[in-house]
Amino acid sequence: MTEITEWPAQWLRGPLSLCALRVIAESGPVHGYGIARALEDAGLGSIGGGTLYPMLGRLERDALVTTDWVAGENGPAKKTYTITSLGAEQLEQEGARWARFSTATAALIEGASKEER
Amino acid sequence: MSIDDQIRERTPHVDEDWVDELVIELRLKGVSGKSIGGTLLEVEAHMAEHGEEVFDVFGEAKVYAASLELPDDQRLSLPEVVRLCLVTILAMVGTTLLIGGTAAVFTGGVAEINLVGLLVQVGIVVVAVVALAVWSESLLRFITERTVAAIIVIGALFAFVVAAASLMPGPVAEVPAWIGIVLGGLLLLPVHREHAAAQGGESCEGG
Repeated sequence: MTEITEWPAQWLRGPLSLCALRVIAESGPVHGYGIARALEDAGLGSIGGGTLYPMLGRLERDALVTTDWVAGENGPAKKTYTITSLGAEQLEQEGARWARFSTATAALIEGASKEER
Repeated sequence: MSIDDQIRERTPHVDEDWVDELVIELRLKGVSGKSIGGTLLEVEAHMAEHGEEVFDVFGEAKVYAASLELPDDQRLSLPEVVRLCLVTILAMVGTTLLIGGTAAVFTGGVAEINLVGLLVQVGIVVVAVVALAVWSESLLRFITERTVAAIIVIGALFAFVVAAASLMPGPVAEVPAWIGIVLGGLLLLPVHREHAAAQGGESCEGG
């Protein structure tokens, strides 16, 4: 079971859209709540609607995802998100850059921590 | 069923006050009804599964509305603003001639048009039209949030516009009654056509 952790908002701001793109790439078409659940299950903590949907809106405006409305079985209609080829390209390129960045920062921070000890 | 009732029926898992505030905010931003409906449905779908208070999940409706950065679909383009100004000028001049001409028929004299007053009237109304087109969100927000002050300002402006027609000093044009009526009617024809076209457009959008 994944540990539920609340991360500082400024930490999430950078990688959140890439994480959402990854979820959409692997699970799409997927609706907003499904993306929020997948992000939480991945250990990013609870992502509020006030953060999630504006970010998904930007992905849609940037043509990184497309949307569609699917009728709910017993509930309301749901807006689903599907990654586009441009979104997949961005995920691959920016994802690789982010991985290099996070490796570098982790190495630096962990190194500094060891020196402090 | 009213629009409010339809919204309530489709968003049973979202606090009514929060929904009202969100709709007002998006309307003030000129967001289309279709986009507002989509936004509400997405919030409803999320809250139907989440099961907490909408305020805890989405935050303040006003902040959420701003964060969505939805396009202002009602913003007029420059040609549309120019067209609206021209129609407004035609409407004011046409109405002045028509009323003056009609009154002159009954008094047996000529229509006296205060040219400076008419110019001031047209100027004020055109400025108001342009201001509404350019700063629609700010002005509508002022009207909805400071209603009493807005009524006083609008009332004062209206009184000044009405008073300008007769009280402004300056040359007065004397127009024969029937010429005033015919000319006024002719000037109002394109205004009527514009109004009919706008009504037709709204019907198509609504249907």
